[in-house]
Amino acid sequence: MYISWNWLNRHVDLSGLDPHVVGEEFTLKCAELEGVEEIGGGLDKFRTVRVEAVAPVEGSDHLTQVTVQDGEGTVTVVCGAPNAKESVGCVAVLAPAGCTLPDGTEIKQATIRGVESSGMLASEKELGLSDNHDGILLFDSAVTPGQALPQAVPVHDFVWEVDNKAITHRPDLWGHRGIAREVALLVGRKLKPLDYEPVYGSEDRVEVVVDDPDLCPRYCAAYFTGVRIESSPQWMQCLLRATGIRPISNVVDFTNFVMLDVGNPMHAFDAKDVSGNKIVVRRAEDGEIVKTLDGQDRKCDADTLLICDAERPVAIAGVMGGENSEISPDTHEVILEAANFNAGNVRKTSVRLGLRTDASARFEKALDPVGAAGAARLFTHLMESLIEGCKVVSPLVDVAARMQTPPAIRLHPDAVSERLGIDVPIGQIRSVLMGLGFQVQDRSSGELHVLVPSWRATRDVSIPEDLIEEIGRVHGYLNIPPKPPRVLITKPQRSKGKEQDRAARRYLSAGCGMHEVLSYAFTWKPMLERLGADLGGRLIMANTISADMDRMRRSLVPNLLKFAEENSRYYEAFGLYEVGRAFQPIEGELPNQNRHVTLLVVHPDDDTGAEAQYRQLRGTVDGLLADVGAPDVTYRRPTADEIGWRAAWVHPKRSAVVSAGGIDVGYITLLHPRAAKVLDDIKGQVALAEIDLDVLLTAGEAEPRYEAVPKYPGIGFDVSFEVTEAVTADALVAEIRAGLKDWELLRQCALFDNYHLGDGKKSVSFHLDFRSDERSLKDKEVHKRVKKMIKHVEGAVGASLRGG
Amino acid sequence: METLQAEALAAIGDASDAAALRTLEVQLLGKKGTVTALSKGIREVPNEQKREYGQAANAVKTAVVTGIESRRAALQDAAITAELTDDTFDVTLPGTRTKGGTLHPLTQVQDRVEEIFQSMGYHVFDYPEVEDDFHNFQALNIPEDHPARDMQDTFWLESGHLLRTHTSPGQIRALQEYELPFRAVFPGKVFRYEAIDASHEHTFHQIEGIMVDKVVSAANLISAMKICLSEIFGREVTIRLRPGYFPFVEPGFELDMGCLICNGDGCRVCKQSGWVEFLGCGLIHPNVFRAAGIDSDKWQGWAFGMGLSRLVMMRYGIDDIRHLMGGDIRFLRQFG
Repeated sequence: MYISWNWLNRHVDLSGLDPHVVGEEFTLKCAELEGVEEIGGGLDKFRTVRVEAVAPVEGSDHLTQVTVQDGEGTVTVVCGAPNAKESVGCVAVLAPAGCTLPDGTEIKQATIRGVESSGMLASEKELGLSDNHDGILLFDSAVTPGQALPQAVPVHDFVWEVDNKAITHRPDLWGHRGIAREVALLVGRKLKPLDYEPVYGSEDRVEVVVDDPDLCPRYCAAYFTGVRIESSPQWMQCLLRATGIRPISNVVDFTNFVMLDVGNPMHAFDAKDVSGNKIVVRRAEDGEIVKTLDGQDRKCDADTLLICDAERPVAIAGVMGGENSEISPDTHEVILEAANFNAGNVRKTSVRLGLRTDASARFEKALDPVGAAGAARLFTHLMESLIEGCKVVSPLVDVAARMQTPPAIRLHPDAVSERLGIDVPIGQIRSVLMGLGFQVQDRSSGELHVLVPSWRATRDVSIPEDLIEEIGRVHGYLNIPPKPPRVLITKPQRSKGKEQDRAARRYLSAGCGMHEVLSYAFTWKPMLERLGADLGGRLIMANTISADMDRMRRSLVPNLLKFAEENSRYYEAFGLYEVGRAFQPIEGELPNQNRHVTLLVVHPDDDTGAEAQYRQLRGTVDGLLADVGAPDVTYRRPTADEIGWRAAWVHPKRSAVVSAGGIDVGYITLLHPRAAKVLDDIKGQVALAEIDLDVLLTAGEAEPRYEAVPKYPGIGFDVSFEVTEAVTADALVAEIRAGLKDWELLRQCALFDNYHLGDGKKSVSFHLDFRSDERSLKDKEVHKRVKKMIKHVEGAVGASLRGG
Repeated sequence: METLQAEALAAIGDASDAAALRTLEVQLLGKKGTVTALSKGIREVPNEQKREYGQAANAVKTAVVTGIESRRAALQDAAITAELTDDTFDVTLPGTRTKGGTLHPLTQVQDRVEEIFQSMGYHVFDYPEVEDDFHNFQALNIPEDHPARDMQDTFWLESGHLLRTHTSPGQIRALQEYELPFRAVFPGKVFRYEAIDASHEHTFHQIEGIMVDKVVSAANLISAMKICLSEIFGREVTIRLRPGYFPFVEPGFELDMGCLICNGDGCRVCKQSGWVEFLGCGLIHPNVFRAAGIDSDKWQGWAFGMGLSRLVMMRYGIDDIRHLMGGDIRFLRQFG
């Protein structure tokens, strides 16, 4: 919102003060200013001139040569503005040759299509007064020509831009009067009292019926006759322009002026378009259509509040007026509306219609119903004092069904000091609150009885903490010296999840040379579609910034595949991982959103072979699970059901379910060959693993135990079996153990070679380690048992011994 | 025998390096070596001469072994001397580093911030990203149709849940879950329904903290913020508080930090003001305590929230926020 310094001056005398310095004080003690901008400064060389004659420029269909009288003589300039043609008799602003526009453009003497041009006629934008560049700035004949512009018209001003977010909770700050009240207190000057009090008429000219007082706590109306539509006075136009409002005509400008002055939006209807001179405030019928001022048809529902006349809607309450009753040049009688509407309802309506206006922005902050009558008073004053012959002939029709008594708050001065952490004298508490319009009474209990002014009472101030904030900010938070809090010792809370996250990341980044990435919680749908993946089972967004991200991720894999594809333009082989949440809907509850660690390795495009890649992947996951403290890790072939919705990337034959402590925690897989075919930008082979860390937490923790350092040497023994490819390593290990009758002195049985012989045969080699803690083993006893074991294995799985 | 010994010792003396000496050693003392052959020759010698022959042969062997050992020691010394005087070793060659992985810069900064708070007795919690309206808005004193909801444009799910727009729902969860008094921080991903560009992301990271105790003042909050920000930035920072509106605190503050680039003199980063808006904080609103089922007459607290993504960008001078969620190794590998 824009605040004009000149405008503030109408409410508090700011003479001698620097708008920048006061602005800084305002930021520190009230609400943040985004900037302070000077407008209309340095325009002394620009002159007001009367347009004497306008003639076309030969050979051009849009240029005109304009002869102007600057008080000393006539000057001719060439002008391209569309409104120059009808400017005879008006007063324009001449930028004479040799002067410089606020944006730095130099104006030169020039000859344009054979016409000598000694300067230019300026638009508001060129003068730095507003963004309006539709045509040249034209005044009516009330402005004296032949003067420096700033002498003729009060264009010089400073504009504060208030951060709207900083005053969301302050309905009273949405107009200059409210801002001025704060400024007056901050600079220690008096807020000027209002100097108008119109006398209403007595004719029964307008009737108001409010059907739904909850949505319209107050509705004020009045009837004006003798209205002549012309332009509003220059001082008002300057103030409106400075605050970003385009002057239109007196009546429209007055409504805007009132809104920006006292903060209460208002509306003026052309009385001849208000059938029956009757205003009915009611809810819309479902599907009822209202054409608003901007020419759009707005479809309403039963939650939309309408302002209607005896027959039809004339406005959407608190949002926008209707086209059918708009002020126009032939308006002669006016009905004013100054009302208060329910904040939540206005907000809902404006969100639903997608129509945010200056009015709705204010009403949704919960305006003070008392202010509606104040707005009516100001509007009436402006109409009667600024339009000759205009009169309010009706009384102020005031339907105020829901007026609330402002709350009283009991404030203990000690609470102020306790919460702020500084001593605040009671005199200071009193003077701050009274300066802001609160009434303060002392009670014998030592408490203060504080009456909240109506303009702060709607939502803003209701509890002692709110008052403490007022006192603290005006005192200045930067005047509160830091005080360390009292020492507090609490029982430590171990966050196992955090420890797990950190251990996983340390292992994968430092131990495995992988890069940690972060990706969106949404899944990248084009990836799912390209892979032909199941799109279901995911949380669907109700609103999304991109159709490609319209659902939450159920696995982190698709996003990692996208990253892998992108990185493949620059890198051949790499590893990526992410620790993050994946989401699965649960009916009627917050979704499952467990933390996952998901990793993706792209192998170099060489002949490493799937088996080696798989073993490397499993080794990586073994290490990962060991580092996060997982107990008893095992792997097994997944069923088709277990692969389920991940079938687009999980290889049905080259994947395993990972379990820890008997609980399934995730899977490892080589990328499904069809997915690999689709993602052919990735040259090497892809291996993936995904572990649900929250499920893993339920599997308990491995307990690291000390084992005695061997006292006696062990005996190592290598053995190779030739078996058919169908026999798994796990099966062989099981048979080796069985063949040794689970001899407890077998300390290790480690596969060290898996060699494919062709013809469906392979050779699998193990290193066996035997050791006793009580004695040195004898070769003989080991050999005897190994021999029996070999015989057993040969019989059990059809193996034949290749060596050992 | 004497000739053999003399020739052997001469050859040993001529051996110019360790390898030549080793070859010679095999020739002399190996299975088929000449000195070994000499010892084996004892079988051919008549019994009465065996003793004398044996002694002589042993003497030759001892002499040769000693000769080899001393020559070896001399060669080793010479090699050491040579290495110590060799100037041709190029120490300017680049290093060959084991391929290292990287932690995401955000993780690194987050870990550091967590450590700082942990060392000051704060617990570290982790809370859901998909939240309900109660925790994200209502319990935080943002009722339905409150304009403050606009300040945080929201991603909604068809289920009626939402993606948390701030880490503040953690306040409610922590208050409901833990015994009072306590202090805690909870970092995490947050979501805003807005278009992305170099300085806006719909997904970014924050860290939120609260402290609850019997008496907690604004002066305490200022002190705690000054200490933790000084730790985070590794130097003494200046801060100032000014009014700020967050519905879940009362009073609420915007905290500005003295610009670290220009030390408050004014520069491009701080828009010539000398101050950089850094975080929002305040004293916990009684309605928040109430929503969490806590008696606000008995307990007080403060809360703060700051942008971790922004901190990461400040710390490394990253000028495009999209990198953080981008997965580009060319970006990530700079933070190894």
